[in-house]
Amino acid sequence: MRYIILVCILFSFSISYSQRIINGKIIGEDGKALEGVTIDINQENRFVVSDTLGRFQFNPTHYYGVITASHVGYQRAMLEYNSETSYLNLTLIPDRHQLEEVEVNTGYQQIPKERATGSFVQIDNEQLTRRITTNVLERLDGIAPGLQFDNRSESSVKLNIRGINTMSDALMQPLIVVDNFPYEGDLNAINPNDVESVTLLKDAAATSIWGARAGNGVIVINMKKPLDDQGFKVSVTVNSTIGEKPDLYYYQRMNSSDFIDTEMMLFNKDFYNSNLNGTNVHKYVFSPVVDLLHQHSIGKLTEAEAINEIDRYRAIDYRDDMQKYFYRSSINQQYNINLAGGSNKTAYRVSIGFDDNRGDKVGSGLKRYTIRSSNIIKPTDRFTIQTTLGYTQSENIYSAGFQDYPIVTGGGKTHLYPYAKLVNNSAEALATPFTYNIHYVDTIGNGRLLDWKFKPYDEITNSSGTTNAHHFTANLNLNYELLKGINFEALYAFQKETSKNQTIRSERSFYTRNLINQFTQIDGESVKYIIPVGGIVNASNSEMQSHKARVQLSLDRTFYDKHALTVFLGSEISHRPSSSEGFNAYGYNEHLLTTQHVDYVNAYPIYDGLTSNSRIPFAGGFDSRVQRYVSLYGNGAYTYDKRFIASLSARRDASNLFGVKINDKWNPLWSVGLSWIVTEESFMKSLKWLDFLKVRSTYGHSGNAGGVASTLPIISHSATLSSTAMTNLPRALVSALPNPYLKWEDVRMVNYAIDFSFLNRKISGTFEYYTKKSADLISADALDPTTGFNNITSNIGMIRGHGFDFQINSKNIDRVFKWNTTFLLSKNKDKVKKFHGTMSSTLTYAAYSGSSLRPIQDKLLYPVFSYRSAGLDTESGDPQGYMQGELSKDYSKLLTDSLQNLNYHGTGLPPYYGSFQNTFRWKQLELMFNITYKFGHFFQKETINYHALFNSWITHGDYVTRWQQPGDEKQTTVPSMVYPSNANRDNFYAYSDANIERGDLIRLKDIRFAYSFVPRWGHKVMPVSVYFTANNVGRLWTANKSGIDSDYRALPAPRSYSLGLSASF
Amino acid sequence: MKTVKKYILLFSLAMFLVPLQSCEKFLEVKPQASLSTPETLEDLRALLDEESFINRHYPGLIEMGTDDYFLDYSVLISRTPFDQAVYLWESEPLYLSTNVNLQWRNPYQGILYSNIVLESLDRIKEGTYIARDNLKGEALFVRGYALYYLAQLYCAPYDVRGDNGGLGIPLRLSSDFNVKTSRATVEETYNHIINDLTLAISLLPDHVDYKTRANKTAAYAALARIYLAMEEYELANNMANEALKRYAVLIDLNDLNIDISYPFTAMHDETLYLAYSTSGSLLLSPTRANISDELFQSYDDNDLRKKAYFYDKGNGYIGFKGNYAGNNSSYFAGLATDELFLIRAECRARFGEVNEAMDDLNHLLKMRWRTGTFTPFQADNADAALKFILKERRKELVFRGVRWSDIRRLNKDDRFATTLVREVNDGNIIKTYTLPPNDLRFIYLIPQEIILKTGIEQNPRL
Repeated sequence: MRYIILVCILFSFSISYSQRIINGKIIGEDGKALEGVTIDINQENRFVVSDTLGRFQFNPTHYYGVITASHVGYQRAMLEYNSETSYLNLTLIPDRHQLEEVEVNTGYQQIPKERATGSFVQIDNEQLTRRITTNVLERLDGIAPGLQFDNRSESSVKLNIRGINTMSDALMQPLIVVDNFPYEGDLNAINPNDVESVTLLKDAAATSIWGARAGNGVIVINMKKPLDDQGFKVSVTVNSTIGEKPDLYYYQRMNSSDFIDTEMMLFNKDFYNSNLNGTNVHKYVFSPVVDLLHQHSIGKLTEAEAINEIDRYRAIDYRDDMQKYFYRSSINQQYNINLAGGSNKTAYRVSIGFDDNRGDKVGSGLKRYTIRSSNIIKPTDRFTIQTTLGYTQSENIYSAGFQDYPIVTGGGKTHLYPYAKLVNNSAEALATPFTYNIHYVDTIGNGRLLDWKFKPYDEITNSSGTTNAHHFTANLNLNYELLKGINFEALYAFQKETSKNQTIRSERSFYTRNLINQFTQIDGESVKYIIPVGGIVNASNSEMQSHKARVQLSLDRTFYDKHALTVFLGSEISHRPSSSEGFNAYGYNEHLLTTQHVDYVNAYPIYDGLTSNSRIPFAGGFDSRVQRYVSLYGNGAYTYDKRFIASLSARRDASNLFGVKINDKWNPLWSVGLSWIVTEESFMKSLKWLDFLKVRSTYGHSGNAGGVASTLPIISHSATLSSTAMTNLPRALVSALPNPYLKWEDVRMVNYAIDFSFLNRKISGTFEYYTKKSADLISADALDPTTGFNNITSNIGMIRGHGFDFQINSKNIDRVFKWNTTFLLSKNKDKVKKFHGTMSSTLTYAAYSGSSLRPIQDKLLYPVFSYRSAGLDTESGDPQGYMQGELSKDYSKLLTDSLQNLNYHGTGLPPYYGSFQNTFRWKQLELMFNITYKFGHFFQKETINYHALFNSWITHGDYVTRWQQPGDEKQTTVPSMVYPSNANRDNFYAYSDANIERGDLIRLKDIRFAYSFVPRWGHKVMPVSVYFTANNVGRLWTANKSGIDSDYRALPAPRSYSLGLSASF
Repeated sequence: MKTVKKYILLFSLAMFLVPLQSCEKFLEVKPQASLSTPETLEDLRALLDEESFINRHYPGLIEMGTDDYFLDYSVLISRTPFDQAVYLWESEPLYLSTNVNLQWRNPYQGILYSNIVLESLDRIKEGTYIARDNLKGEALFVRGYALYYLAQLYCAPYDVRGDNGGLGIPLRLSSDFNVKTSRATVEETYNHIINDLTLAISLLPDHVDYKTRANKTAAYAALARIYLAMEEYELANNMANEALKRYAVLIDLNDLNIDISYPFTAMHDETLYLAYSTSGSLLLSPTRANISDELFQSYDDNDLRKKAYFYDKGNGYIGFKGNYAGNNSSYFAGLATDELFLIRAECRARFGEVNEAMDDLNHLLKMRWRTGTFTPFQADNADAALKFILKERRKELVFRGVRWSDIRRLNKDDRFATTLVREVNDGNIIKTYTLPPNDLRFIYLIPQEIILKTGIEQNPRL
């Protein structure tokens, strides 16, 4: 009975609530009612739509809940209700991403994108958070039109905005601006979760405000700011990323069996005789196979024994051991918490972040702690004070003894033979030959020396390295409104970065044992250590400070309704001292932290005369640098009747780089721009389908400061002893020859653009076309070596470039199910029009095909050249070329042939690139993926070099497809193996057109899958988003058939998977 | 409130003007502490003490073509094409950029440093006359001596009896890279070398603290060597005399531990000026270069040099260990007293002063032979004396940067002209390569890159 009553009561409750009606109204920021807004009740798939007066009503099924309003061009808004609620008021805020009214930050001002004449790209927070990375810049890859990531250099990623405007690698990077000022220091100190958005400044009108450092474009990183009038809000982000283990088998190498066969062939030809029989046999490394063959030849092994042993090696590839013991999956964890709040007088935001990364090399990792606090105070209506304090501490650990693949052996060879065993079955490290003959180090010193064996696996743990960095920033911005529309601003930014690097090579490490042994003196029974037994420490500290200050007066007023004027004038000063120091210490005891003294001054004999008499290596010293800039700038924009906009910008910079006269240090740069918002014209109003149309054009200059102009030679003093110098005197070397006429680089750009949006903003986009001329380009120009100097920095060239950036966004389906597409395509070609620099040798152009800038008149930068190959000789499998139209095998002549006679393929830098991004939303589910592509470039693939194979153990998988018998030339371009090898023959083939491939490729860059929901905690709602992303998913298509990822010279970036959660309440 | 605004306006205007007024001072700060322009004598001293460019830059070519050594086939084929070509006296070895740097640019680098020092001395007014003179003398010495080495490689030997109007080497006498490189004549080349060194003598000090710096004796010794190469025997004799008057110390090999790996240490007592080559050529490293049998067999068993200079490699080959620069180098390119005795002995023999000539030689050899085994050598006539002295000259000055010049000089004399022969045995066939007297290949090609860049004339080839 009681149950029945209970059921009745419950039933009546639900009935009573189902009968209840909640009314509401939805308005825009301007207070006007919004029609057609979709309202989702409790995310239960029940929808209501607002009427012409913005009104809506629904009957709630629950006691309390949450409604979500969504509308095209507006941010989604959520509001909760409870049992008391009868009326709901919702204000929708325009969505910055979807509406044209995006504000762009140039670092000097916030301007509505609509009113800009220049070329700006705004990357909003949604785009920035789709990929999970530790470094913020990596998130821009493939999502910004006109920004290209060049991963081809092994050490670093090079970014370029609209191509290359310079001829020297040192001046290639875009300027990076954070918190209104050029960022000094390590970008890794920035927590990506603190970044609100990124603005790219591409054309001269956008960049000229940054003057002489902006010739390559500017990337403005806008940090999150406190928002006023917002209650206390906490948001939390947690994510974890797993990166795949590097795949060493990506490298095309010879297999062990082929390598062994080659060694046996060489042994039979007495190739190793002089090394095996010489007195310096101890200074050469030999492979086990050559060793066994040698044992057999001197009668210590029977043939069967030797062959038996050798055959055991055929199946071994040391990549297996490395893959198992040296590399691992990387794991990156990121935690971030954000507290923000504010009233109309003050606002604050505090964020704390923690990153814990495990690298893919065993022993490597990074821990980063960031805290950032910003405050806005408005003492009066006219006065705003904004302060920011930020602190980042990071600890980077790595193994200083880690051996990368391929392991380098020394001792007359380069790479380790492929069939080495690095770790035995019981996971113990095995020795491989290194620097010396392995039998020599077995017996030398009769046990009185330290063990002299090299075990790559042990080396990982025997040496360690740490880099501890602290980065501190403090900003103060004052803004005072003097009169209506006239503001005075004063900004000051301080940065300090200290970094401490320490490498400890314990006495177990080969480096330390080797050095101690080399200096050990054994006389009968007595053992004298010149270098004390113990670890060796190398330490260095560096410190950078940066003070930057700016005063700016600005006017922003509209006169007589139709004339709007925005003007600002300012000056800026910057001072950036930096210093570093270093030292090393011997006999280091890691427990007691004691070290021992050594004699750095006198040269000592080296054990067994292994090398010449040497001093104990000393590393260290002091360095100090100062960089100063003074700048004046002004910028003005005039808008007539919201239709016509004209802008003007000018700037002068001066710096303390060596210059002759102060006048020459000043470099004036300026730009002008015009734009016309066509849709504001009355005659356009009839075109209902066209929402927005704007045409704009700009012209202007920006620059690149670089080089040292001096009438006198510049010398560089050094006090560090070289280990082999005969004297101990202070010395100085000439670091630059007199070069008084050097100028700063000038980049001139013309930009034409059209911004459009139609069909109720279903389709919007931008098309921009630009031409540019970069003149007075500075480069290290090769000198005639007879001058006694290799190069001089001078203004040697001019580049003309052109290209376009095309972006189109479309809302293909915009209902409950949403499908948005963004398509990006950029073209850029930079052709060298003038180059007075000296040419390198033909061989240099062919050998570095496409991998370095190498300017040549009338060719694109990164030119790809190759020798004209005439196929293989049908009798011998020799590669053949053409010499004056005739078949030729005179390789030394072919290699030095005039560059004109080589093939010119094009450029190594992709001239076409872009991405295709798709987002699907269905209720709480979201799926995004990004396909990136690069077209129109070439690369040179590696191949077998027999000379290097014989002499240096450098192998390549092309060995398998080599010419072996007449007829093979029909299937292969790889020449036959000949003995003795001929390096010129190998080089000719390696740099011939047989090895040039098209670089075009399409890649699935990333996939993101997210699920959002709003759980309730009592009366609170807490929007939560759970997401999964996969990054560097894979190549969808490549033009080359060799399976090579042309974006990378070495291993392609490994695929990674992230799982994350963000919540706010 | 109005006045506050006015002040702020004024203040902000002032802020704009301040940087303009003071920026000149503000921007005068050096961008890097260790960088400077040469402003003091100390700076110049430091430039001339930059061992790696002043003392260590000598080209390997000067030893790579001689008959003092040979290579095993397997070593030969593992070397770079350039090294192989030079070894086999190929007519046109292809210089890659490393070869250009080692064989051509490096000596010019020393010349550039000298030119910078000389030009800076005109500008810098500080210091005593003596200090300034010494630096000037040293710079002239470095330049003259480097030019001499280049002349041994890239232009014809000086012909005392004939015309020296042929192609010399480029004389770079200014640090201005805009000055176009052009070739002087042989006459101008040698005149310039002699001028530099003669002027250096008058400026250099008698004593230096470090043998990496030149003193008067070193300059005399350099001139003695150069006049000898020019066959100006009278002058060579005078210079050797002047040098020996100042310093004539010889090492007695009996006092030296000759069994160790490297019996001579850098800057030992015979050294007058230390110059050497560390990377001139990898062919010359003792592990690769085998000493010619003919040379090794020419030493008497009681001649301590046989042990001090050479070692048995254990594979039937003989290696060289008697490097006068210690063990850090491929060959010794400097100057030492033993050479002076040999120069004077040769000159005296040529003048017919047989006894004086043999006295000089015996004085040297006494220090080379095992104590108690040496009996002074006699010569019947000047011709015999000369032949004997030249033979001893080769035996004493192994890997000292003089053999190549000696061959070039002596080839002009029928009595001493030799055809150099290299045999390459690949296990099946023996190929023979020869370099007959006065062959065009005794003048190395100037690197092709230099010809391309400067347009200067290449050395003739058949």
